[in-house]
Amino acid sequence: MLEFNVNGSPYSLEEIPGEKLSDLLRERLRLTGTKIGCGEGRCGICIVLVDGIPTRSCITRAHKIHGKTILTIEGLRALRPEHQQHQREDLKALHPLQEAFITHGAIQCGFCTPGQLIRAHALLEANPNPSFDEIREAMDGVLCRCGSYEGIISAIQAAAKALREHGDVKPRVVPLGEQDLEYVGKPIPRPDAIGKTVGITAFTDDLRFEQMLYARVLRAGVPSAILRGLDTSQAQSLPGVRAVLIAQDLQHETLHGVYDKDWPILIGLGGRVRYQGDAIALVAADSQAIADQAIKLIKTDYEPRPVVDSPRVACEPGAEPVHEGGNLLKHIHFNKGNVDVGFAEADEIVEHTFNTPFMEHLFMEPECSIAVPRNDGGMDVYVGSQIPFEDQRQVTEALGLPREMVRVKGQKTGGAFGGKEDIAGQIHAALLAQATGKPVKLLFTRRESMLVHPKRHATSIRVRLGAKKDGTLTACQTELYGDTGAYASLGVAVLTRATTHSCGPYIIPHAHSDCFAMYTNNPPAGAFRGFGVVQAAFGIENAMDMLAEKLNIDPLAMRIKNSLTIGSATNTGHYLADSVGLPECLQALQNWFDGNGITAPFLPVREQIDGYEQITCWGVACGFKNTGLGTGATDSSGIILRLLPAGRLQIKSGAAEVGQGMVTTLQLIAAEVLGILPENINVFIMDTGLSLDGGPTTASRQTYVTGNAVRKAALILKERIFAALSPHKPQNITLTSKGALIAGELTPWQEIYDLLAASDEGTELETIYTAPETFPLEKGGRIHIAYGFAAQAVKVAINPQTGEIRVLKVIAANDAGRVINPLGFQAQVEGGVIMGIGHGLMEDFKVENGIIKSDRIARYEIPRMRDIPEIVSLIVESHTAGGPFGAKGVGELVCVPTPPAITNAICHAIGLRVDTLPVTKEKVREFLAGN
Amino acid sequence: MDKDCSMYIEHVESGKRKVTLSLTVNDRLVVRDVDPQMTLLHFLRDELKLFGTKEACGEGECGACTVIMNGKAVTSCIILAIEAEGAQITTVEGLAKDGKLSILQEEFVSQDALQCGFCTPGFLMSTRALLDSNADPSDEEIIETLSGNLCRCTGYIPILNAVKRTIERERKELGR
Repeated sequence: MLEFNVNGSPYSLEEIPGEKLSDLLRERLRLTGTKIGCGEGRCGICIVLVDGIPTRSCITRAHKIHGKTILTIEGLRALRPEHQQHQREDLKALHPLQEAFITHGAIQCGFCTPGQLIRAHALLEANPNPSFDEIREAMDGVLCRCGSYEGIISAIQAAAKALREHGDVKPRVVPLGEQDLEYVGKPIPRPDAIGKTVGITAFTDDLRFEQMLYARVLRAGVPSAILRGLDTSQAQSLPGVRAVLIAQDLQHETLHGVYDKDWPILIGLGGRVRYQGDAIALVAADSQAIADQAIKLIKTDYEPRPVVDSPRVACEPGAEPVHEGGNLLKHIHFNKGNVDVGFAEADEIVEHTFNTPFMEHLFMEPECSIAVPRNDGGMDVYVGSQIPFEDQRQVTEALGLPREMVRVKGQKTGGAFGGKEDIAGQIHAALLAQATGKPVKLLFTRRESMLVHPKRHATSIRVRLGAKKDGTLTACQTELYGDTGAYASLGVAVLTRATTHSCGPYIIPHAHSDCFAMYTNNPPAGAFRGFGVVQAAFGIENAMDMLAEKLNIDPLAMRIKNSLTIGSATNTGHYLADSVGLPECLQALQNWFDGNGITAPFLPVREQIDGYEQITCWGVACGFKNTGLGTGATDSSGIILRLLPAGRLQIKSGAAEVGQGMVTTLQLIAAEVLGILPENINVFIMDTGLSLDGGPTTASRQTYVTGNAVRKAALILKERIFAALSPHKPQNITLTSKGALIAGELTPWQEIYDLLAASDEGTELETIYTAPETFPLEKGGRIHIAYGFAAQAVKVAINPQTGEIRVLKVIAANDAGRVINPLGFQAQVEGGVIMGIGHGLMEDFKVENGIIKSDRIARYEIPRMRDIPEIVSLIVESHTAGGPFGAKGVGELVCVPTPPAITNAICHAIGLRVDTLPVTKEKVREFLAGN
Repeated sequence: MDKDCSMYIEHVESGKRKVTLSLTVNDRLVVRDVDPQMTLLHFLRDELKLFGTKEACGEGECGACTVIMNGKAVTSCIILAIEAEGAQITTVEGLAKDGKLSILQEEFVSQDALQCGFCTPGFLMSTRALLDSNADPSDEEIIETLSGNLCRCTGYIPILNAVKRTIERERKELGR
């Protein structure tokens, strides 16, 4: 018998040999607040306290806790000091750490939050007044891919102060944009943050259903082969196995794909295996252990085929065709003027090839789908996804059901960053549920997650850039090879963005770009925050610095000179009528340098840091990023809006919130139109059965598109309210949080509700907003609805002995139009910069000859808390007329300039031009040794 | 768009591009998705079905399409609907209240200030805007203001008389 205490309650349970502590807590005690991110002790989010010591529950055997006391996230709030003061009434049942995490914006997707809080609690127990560096060191073991580290540190400091002084938790001070509106522009915390801090918020894996089965998928494991033999008989006869499905069991659609449908749901006999992650067979069993065992009993026989391991190989004559139509997915190109003329006019020309590797999203929550058959023959699918309505379409096609019979109930999503756009387990779980008639859960292991879902495209980008002596750009020519891997996924769209952004946010009279999107036997590449533009910026921004150096022009001045402005046109011929804040962003950097007495930022300085003499220097880079789907795609979002009794409002949207902060954005927009307090506005999202299609959460589009839909719906409701208040004139009515104010007299919201409820039109409305039309790149002109602009200055420190590089400081100036929620904006800025640092200095998803080497967190480094710099966010607001209150999108923009700003800083510091990401200390050390 | 309602210059829709517009027309808040190329005139006629405002030239010359926007008389045929975001608009339909003609309208009738009547809404709105900002204009001021409106039937004299009688009556009856 195991005897122990959890959160103050004694337990006495039967010992199960080999059981993990995390399984005991989650499965047997149903304390699902503790989350599992990797299952191998690397990510730290499963931390609980065992007799006060932070312990990774996923690699601790349950028998070790005999006689011990455990604290999980569910027990934290009971530990709040008795006389703790609170600023908000609704937070008074919380521990100050929980309150601080909420009000400091330390939570985005919230999947790592339990681990962060428990670790922070242990820290404060040991050290009530930790310094910035002590917090950084103590918290280093808990990963946060949203990059909320700065918010977390700020929250811990505020909570520590409140605990020491028995005072209340002071909220975080973040930079604000314009303050001319009543609600929009005021920082508010996420409404879902409370549940996420106390451990009651359920993610998909936390759900249980009666008679639920567990699934596992047999993956090919080889990158290029023909499947010649498949024997599932042993697996089928294993007790506890309820279904084994192979390709010939598919009765309806056999392919999936979010853009181009080229991805087999299962590879059949005689079929081609195109990457290691291809699915061969599906198993559903009574337990996960049985399903895992059954997969190992399936016998396969492959006829190996040559491996196409890079786009260059894919282009070669006679290359093994990955798909029947050949290896070219698409040749994407544009031309402006005549580059030969432009280069003839140039006084200096640089030409260089830049390389970026595959990158992995590493969202903290591994993919999980649960399919539940309904008694009417339909299917409910529970999944954390970026595109619930697209999932619904694809599952529908695979099951052969009419669309309305499949309902996708989108769940809280533990980060996505583009990696949850493609179908992962939704179809497989649904097929198994259909075959067995029982609920089926398919939870990816971390390794499976890294093996299967599409990556950021690896690219090779040749840039040729010419300018006159005074720095005026005359011509730019780019040639891109993009590795879209085994399947198209969103490859065409991603590499179109890479192409259109490849000449940078600059006015160049002659520009030409060719991009070859190639199939290979590498993992598929698709959407990832920045969507091709991260790669494009790495090429052009390094080339800009190389050219500035040749011309002996200040790199910041060079960019200011050539920057796009209002009234100019992009290199793809898109006339920019408004909202081009790039000159202001660049000027903001210059002003920051001036204001801080930095006169020669691009000259190396020797400084003592951490006891070593290090070389420090600044580098700059720009970026721009489209808002919205663009290039001809219809970009719509539907909203159902209901006025509720007593001055409450409900917004229903099919759009996905994956941690980015859409909910508060929608609350603030509706509040601004209707005067109702944001906290009285409920936002219901991500259910295909109860909401209208909000379109994908991609392309930094939800603020603009769904934000506009909410604004429109709120205006229509306002129209109805004013009509109901007739004969009072609209100009004499003011909507406030209490009701309608007419000549000093208040008509309360309840009365307005009663008036509308009695009217013909009622209290509920549906509306669809469609963004302005865009045109395909081939047609040119307006290819996007708006662009965000960014400029960053990055200070690096290089240790000349070890070659280690650290980013000390980042000044991030961003023009994303109107800032709707400054707290959410700050989180996106900090998270974007931190992801950019990861891309610049660490992240390298290694694939060798089609074999994935980065198959676990231990083999794919992402930023930890110790890696964070000081981040200064400078808000530039250049409003766009079409956006809600002038807003564009910020989600992807911020990570675009960071990697080239880092490499530019390194070049200024030591003279090494790094043209291949990531920058490693070995490269730097080797270079310094050679000098 | 209701084709029957539009005049000889047909509004051309620019593809799928729409903008959400909210404004107050005749003391009613209205919210519509509109094409950004649509004129205010077509918005009033085609979207709101307020046919009182007429189109006679489509180029801002004749004044038949005059409406009041934020207190000023404007020719709605050369203003884009989206320029009126958040504005207060009054059209000829907004003059009569509770089924009763306004003094201005009554005087246009009593003075025989209209024959075919096509230009009348424009004259009414130009006059209304003038009298709202200046309750006692001189003859020169009236003539100057109404010179932006063309009338091919009346020879203008009855219109001038109607305006002058309106000023008189509004002063007495409304205390302006």
